[in-house]
Amino acid sequence: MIEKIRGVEVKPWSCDYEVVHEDWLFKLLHFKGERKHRIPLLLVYAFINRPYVLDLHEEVSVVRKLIAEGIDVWMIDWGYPKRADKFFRISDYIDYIDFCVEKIRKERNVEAITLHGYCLGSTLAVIYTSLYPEKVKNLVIQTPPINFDTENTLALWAKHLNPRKITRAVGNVSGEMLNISFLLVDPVRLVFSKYQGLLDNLDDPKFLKEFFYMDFWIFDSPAIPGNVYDEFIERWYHKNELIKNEFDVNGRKVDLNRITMPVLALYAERDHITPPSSVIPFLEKIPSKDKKALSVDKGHIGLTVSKSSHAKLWKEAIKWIVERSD
Amino acid sequence: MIEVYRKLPKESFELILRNLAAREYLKRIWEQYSTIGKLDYLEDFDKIFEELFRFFLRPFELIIFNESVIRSIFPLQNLITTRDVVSAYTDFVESLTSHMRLTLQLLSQPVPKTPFDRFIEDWLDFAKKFEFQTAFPQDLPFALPADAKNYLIDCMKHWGEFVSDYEKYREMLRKAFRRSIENFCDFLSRSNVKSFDEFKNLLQDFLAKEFDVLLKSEEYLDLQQRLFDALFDHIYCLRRFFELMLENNPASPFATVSQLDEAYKRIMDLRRKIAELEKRLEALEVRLHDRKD
Repeated sequence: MIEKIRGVEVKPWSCDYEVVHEDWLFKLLHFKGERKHRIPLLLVYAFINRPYVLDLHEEVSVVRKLIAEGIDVWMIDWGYPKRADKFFRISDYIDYIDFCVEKIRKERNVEAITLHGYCLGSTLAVIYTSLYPEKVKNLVIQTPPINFDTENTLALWAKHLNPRKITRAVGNVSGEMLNISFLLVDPVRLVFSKYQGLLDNLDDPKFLKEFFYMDFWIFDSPAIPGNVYDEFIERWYHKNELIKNEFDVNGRKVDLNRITMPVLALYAERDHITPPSSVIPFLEKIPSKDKKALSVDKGHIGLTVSKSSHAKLWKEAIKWIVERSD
Repeated sequence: MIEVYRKLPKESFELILRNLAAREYLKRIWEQYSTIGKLDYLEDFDKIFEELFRFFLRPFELIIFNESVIRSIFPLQNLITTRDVVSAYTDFVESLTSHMRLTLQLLSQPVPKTPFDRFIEDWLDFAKKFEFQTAFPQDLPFALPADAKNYLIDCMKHWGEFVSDYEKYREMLRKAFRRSIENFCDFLSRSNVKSFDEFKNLLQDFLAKEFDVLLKSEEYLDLQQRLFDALFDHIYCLRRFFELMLENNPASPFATVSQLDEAYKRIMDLRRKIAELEKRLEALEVRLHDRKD
């Protein structure tokens, strides 16, 4: 077994990119490719885990598929927060999105861009879009937590946490703590069944490759800055401020009624982190006339990296984006 | 093995090893079932529980080791006893050294001292000036800085709560595991499972079903919340205690985490102010430019 595992090479980030801007912790990346459409797309990933899951390897790279269709792809990397970053706030993330959007608008001479959020990056994208609707031509949200009042185990746990007790003790919430929590949410499947599956498939090099690409990504977890963790647990999970139009950024109200542009929501039916009920109330609430939801019978990560999802859901999603990118 | 340990995420490596062990136990259980056609709760199931939940319980158990840190804050009888033992041992070693030195002097020619030897002798003479016969103060509680005593008392209180709840937590997981295994064994006695794969999948289903319910139950959520609260309050109070001890010592060369946090917070606030000023400046420049046009 050791010999078989030793041979596995994991090299994520299959597409070429350059770092266009760097600001302490945050980076703006631009992917190289031939531009066939006028409207650029900015990917906003979550501030937990790493954004390269969207470009994990050639066969399941969402970024590669977007570039192949001639979309101009940009991405924000939120980095690995250290103790010194404990006092970042959610508003700092929104400000950096605005900085990036401004930079892209100027660079490409466009009025508005396509904003594509993933997981908690969708939450940030929705907040940003409500604040600056004039700068967002299309909004794509992937496995988005927007309604936090759901009955999945993770949400129930979050509602029973005192985040300030945690962050005053440890500063930032470390990647290791997050890893343990995410596994304990579903210990039998994620700790037992998944690895028993690995032991059953040790002779299948393809299985091994996909398994370890995923495992490297899953355990590559940045810490969450302490203040951001407090805000995200208290204001989103405890008070569910966003869906109630009660959230604000630096005193500016986040009003979902300002989301009138085309919206595409991608969600997974068996998502144990952001179940469909995290997004459906949002779609019902926003006034946008051009809104569409695509779902797949997968889990939270399967939507992004499964081949069946790429064969169907991503094909349709990218078509939707392309049709609105000129 | 070391190469793989180095290469894989540490979580993956541990979980692979634990699953290898779990599979061995499971195979032994399967052999028993396939031979006699029924199953009772075997010791090997407990071993599977350990492999499955060790990963989650270890961080808590590491915290329980804090007891020894707390104990070191109270250097009472046991520490003085240790000092006596160390002191007696030092006397013994010194007398032995002295005896050997005298014997060697009798038997050997005098060796000329090098400049190095002379320096070391001078250094030891100098160091002797700092030797005082002291005993550890027994009235330490009165020497603690103002708030440190309260943090110490709270830290002990939270530690006690944490240990008590941790036992309940572990027991809750173990009982759920045992319940699902008993249901699994009961099901097996009424079924005819033909292969190891089917046997393994069934076990996973029974476990998942039980834990899906447990992890969402009010009882579990309350206990987990209490456990986390006590754990993180304990860590915070212990850290604050040590910080206050350090901050109170004018000879301490260390900045504490709280002092650094205060500096980080001020830097972040300044950074936001700079960003805001830059934005306003940029807007002014645009307005000026527009006016010129």
